[in-house]
Amino acid sequence: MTFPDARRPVFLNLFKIRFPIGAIASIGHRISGVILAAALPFLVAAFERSLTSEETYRQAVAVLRSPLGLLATLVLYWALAHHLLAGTRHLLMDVDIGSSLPTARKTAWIVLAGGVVVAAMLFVGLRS
Amino acid sequence: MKLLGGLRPWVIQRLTALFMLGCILVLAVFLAIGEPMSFAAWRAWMSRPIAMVVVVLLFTALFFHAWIGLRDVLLDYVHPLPLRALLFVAVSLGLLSLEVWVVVILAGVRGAGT
Repeated sequence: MTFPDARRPVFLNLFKIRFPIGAIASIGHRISGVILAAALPFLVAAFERSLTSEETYRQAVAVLRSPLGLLATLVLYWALAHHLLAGTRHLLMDVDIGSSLPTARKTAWIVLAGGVVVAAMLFVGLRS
Repeated sequence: MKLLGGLRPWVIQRLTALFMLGCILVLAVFLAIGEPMSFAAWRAWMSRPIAMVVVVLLFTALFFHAWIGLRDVLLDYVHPLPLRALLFVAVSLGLLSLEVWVVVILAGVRGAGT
């Protein structure tokens, strides 16, 4: 990798950049993505337990319903909801839907609020 | 890093996203209208060949998507090249072993019968 000018400014320092609403939705997309990726081993482990035997199936359900399991579930619901909404926003922007600045700012708000709302709905709705 | 350079990761990221989005919408409908499954019903459902194929495809798409996403994060935030390479190899091996694990799990379901 060679750059014409190695001293060019690099604007990735998270402590120095100002964050407009679109940037918050965007960094949320990354953070939720990393959270979801970190959950993958646990997802596959739970998938295995759920299919091994009646007993391990019950164990997996019990773990999910423990206080720590519920907390993890809530965080993962938010991560999934935010990541899906922000991702859909990106996909639509790729085909030039909602890519003007005023609309993009509006949809960024919708994504941020929608992630929280959908997470809460999933958490309440899927506990039965 | 030319291993996954140019437009390809961008395209893979979007194709896997669309596929997973479709699967999740179908799953949401199942969860909304279906009854909670017992262990036996869940296992029987998962041992059908069509379910296995879809689940393997879904996990594969998921792991590819995570691979490219994590690669992008590493490229942006981890600057020392040896550390970046080390983390990238770790992520790759981790996801690859998860893929193998999924196949082993499904082979177990298939092997034990229903």
